[in-house]
Amino acid sequence: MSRLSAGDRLRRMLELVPWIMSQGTAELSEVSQRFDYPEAELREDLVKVLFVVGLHPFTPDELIYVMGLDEEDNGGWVAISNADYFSRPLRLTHGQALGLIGAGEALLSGVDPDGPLSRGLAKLADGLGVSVGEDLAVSLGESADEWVEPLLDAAADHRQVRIRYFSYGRGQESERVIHPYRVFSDLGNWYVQGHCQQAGGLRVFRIDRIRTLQALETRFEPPDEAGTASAFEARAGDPRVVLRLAPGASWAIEKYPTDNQVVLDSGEIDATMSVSHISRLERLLLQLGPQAELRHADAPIAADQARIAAQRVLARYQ
Amino acid sequence: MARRKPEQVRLERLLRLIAALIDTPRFLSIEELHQRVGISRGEDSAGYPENGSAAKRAFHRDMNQLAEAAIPVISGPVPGQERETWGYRIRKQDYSLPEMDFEADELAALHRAATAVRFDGVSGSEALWKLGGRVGEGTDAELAAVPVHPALADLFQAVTEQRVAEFSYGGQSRSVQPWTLAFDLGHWYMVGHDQGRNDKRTFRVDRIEDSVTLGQPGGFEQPEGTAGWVPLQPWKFGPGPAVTARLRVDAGQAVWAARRLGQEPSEKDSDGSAVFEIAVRSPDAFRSLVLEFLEHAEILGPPDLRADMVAWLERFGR
Repeated sequence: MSRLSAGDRLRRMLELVPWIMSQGTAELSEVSQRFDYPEAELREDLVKVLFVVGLHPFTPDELIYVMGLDEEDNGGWVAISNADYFSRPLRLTHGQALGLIGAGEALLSGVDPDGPLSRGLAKLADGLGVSVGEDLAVSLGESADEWVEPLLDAAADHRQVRIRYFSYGRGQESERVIHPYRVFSDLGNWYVQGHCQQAGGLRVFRIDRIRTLQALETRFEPPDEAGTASAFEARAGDPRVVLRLAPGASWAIEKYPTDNQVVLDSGEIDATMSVSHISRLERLLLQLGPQAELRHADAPIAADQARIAAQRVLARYQ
Repeated sequence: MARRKPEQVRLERLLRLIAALIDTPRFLSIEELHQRVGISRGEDSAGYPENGSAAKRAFHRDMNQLAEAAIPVISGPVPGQERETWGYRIRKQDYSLPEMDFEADELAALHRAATAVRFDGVSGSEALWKLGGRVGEGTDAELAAVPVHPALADLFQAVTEQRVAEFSYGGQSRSVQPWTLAFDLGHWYMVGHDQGRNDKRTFRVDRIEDSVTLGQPGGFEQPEGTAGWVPLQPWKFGPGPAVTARLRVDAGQAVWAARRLGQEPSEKDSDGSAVFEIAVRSPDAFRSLVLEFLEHAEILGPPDLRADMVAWLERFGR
């Protein structure tokens, strides 16, 4: 850790002093761990700083008592008294409360209702006067309840899993054995990224399209670097298209990373994007209709890909 | 005593200042605070410089440091002064976190949650220190990063304290009683009662155009049964009466469709395909939904929704 500034020390000290007071005595090593305070620095700051803090006129009875430590001693415990003004930790800021309750809430579905997360979150929300699920609802994806936990476990244990997966691009189900490297949520959906034995390479799967899942005994060798998690990561060699969007239709590409966006004088946008699955582009084109126009398409995408897709859908209605 | 580092000397002064601000029942002037914190007698001695203007500058630096740590210093007139003098204090009820006694396993679970779901720009560690420190290992693999907008913490405060929120949205100023804050499908939404329109409205938080101004706490009462978040199903919302559409979805997509629609199919055919009966108020949103399935779904009825789809698709050319 880089050297702690006065502000870093202050923020930690204001929270660790009340904790030590609430414990009676505390092991210095535990305080150091809980509050990310390197032990040698912590010892020094308790003995050389906190010990001389107090109220005017700083007579001994007005100073904070720090017991169990002194500068030369290697004592491993500490007790603090005569510091009523520091007996409670600082309240959470609204942003901190939002972040902590939101993170807990996001993971709540599918965990044991009597488990530590549920209990901890209930205490926190209660103490802060927040109704979980009513004041604040955080959904990272619809499928959080089913396969996310087993996949997380498999990723942590480096165990292979066999899945039946519905591929949206191909419109069919297939069985695959994957090495789950990383589970993540992006724009409201859960994904698992890993090596697919059938495809022979790194793939991203949407967890809500997994129909069945079986964790195998076989382990896999974890990769050196799992890479960044983005569901629509382009692979080298993916065809590119330039999509011209009407003003006001830019929302359509919010969830697709684009290589380049140019706003024209007319307010239209020319977005250059890589297409990893043609079906994804087709869906976008059919939904947008007259609001989108394909200005350029690398093979195998056709210049009239929207018409081709529309014909396939129309065939169902004839 | 061995010489202390400058950041330790500064830490002592900051702690003394906070102790003095908490300990007082009334606002203290800058001069009084200087006196209560003490005068520095050299590099290793905490306190303010003797020189008046240097002391003032040092004091303001300290106040900035306190603001950075979100310490709730309030200001007001110092009583008993002939000339109006501005002073400062910290009220204990503003400063202190409410009593919440966390078990170690609860803190560990919250720690894991905070590391798994990161709220951009919010320090999970700092929040955890306030609750009693970081316990356990957390998780190395982040599951999701939730975007945070400048207005979000204010809106969260507004929801939990029933404050009316005023902001500009879509080029118009709004005055809203916020009921719920929700993160869904990758975006933050705020649901509440729009006072100007006298109706319930849903706002995209990232489209709020400037900062949010909050009214007094307890500024409204939330009607019964309005709490919580209904996942986005835009085809359910529209001006007209609901019509019941029948949608056939191919076997491969049936399970996914049930999740997407939030309902079970009303019929299942021997080939595995499923028919869903869906209440539709917005035909446009319904068309977009059906096109997500490309050629793997077909609107069976009513005839006008089916005809709308055919007409839409024929516009792409024959």
